[in-house]
Amino acid sequence: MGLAQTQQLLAQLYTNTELRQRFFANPQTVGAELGLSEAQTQKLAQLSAQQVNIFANSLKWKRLGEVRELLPRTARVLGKNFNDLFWRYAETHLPQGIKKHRQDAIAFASFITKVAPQEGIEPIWLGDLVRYEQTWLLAEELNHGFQVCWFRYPIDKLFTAQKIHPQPTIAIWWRFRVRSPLYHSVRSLF
Amino acid sequence: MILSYLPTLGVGLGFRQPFKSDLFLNRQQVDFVEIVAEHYLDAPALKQQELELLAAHFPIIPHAINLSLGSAEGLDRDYLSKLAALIKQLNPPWWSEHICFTKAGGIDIGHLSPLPYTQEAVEVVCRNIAQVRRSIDVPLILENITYMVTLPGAQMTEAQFLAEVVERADCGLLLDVTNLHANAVNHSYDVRDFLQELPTERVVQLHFVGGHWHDGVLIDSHSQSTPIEVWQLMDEVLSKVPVKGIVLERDENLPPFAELVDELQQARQIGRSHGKWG
Repeated sequence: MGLAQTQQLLAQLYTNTELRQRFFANPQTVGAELGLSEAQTQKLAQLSAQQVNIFANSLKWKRLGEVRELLPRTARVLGKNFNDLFWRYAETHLPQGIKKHRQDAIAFASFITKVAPQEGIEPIWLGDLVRYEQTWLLAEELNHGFQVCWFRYPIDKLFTAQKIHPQPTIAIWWRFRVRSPLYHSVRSLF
Repeated sequence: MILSYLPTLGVGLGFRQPFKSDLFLNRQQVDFVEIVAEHYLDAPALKQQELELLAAHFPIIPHAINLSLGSAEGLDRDYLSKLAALIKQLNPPWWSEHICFTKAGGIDIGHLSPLPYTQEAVEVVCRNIAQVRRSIDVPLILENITYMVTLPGAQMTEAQFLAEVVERADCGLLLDVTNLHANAVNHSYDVRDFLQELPTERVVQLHFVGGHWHDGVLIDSHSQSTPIEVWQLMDEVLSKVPVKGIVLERDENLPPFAELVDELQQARQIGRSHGKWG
């Protein structure tokens, strides 16, 4: 087995929990599924499952740390639920590229937005908060132009002592030119 | 590459955005700054302005983390061209990457992954470095990584592997003494044996910081102050090696900036005790 093929298999084992568990439980069967010869499978099976699991978990914790920094208010509101949701999300999503952590946070925000109402995850304005932080991440990448997002709740009052009631709210981000500042405004209607 | 011609930079700090203000308030304590190159590739205007501000006040060393010099399937050309543009913009005395792979088969692993210590892996790294040099003519120095996974089929030791890569590719070494300590602890080897197998005359720069223990494994988390074992290792290396620069690489669990300054001062004192950095 050449280095290119070895690296492809290692990358899968490091990042795919289901494949990793199946491989170390039954290397011959999974090796055959992956198109490996018996000798190639035996060589790969010399890997320590414990070492690979520790490394794989460290990769997910690293991603979680980056995403937590990019979605700080969502992380604070969700508490431990943030981690639990991230582990579920990370089973099927793997970001790529130079801005992978930002993409990871944006995709994770979409995941929360989808899952939270289905599972009744509170607070009720969680979806608005997640979309607000997600739109910040998108807006920061704007070279010029604007980004608009509507909310059901007053996004600028979520962390105040006030009791929160539905109130249609719009947030706008805009930048005139590449090197000009990013402007931001939030307005509640009615 | 004639490494002795590289300038001496002194004691530097890995730049992290949360301590930007403190860095500028303590400029006299920091001789140079190392930036994570990826933070400034395809960067929005705000990050570009931050980079220009840093470059106006400090010598800057770009430190790349995702070029994946060990990928047998070759380099990401788009990534390489953006990295080359950044390095051209900064015109540093040297730049650094890791001896590892981070991408394979369309998967971005997300962290530095070890290579098997084989001749084939040496060939791959050297071939990729030759390609890099066609785009970047600034001297490249290569860093030793920490690793949790021991890959089967090794034909040489880790130190022999690093030595063969830097000799054949004619690169400098960025010796991360924290990584060396963590690997020695986690994989039960002697750092002195390791250092004897390295071409120490190629060491241009050091990294240092502290990690944390998790389930009996020393994790290179850049999250703690530098432990005594790493200071001792730094002292030993600096007593033998013509190092040009040394960088504190703190990422997580950031302490008050004064604690980072204390660590820089301690590193400076160790260097001075061996006749380095004035």
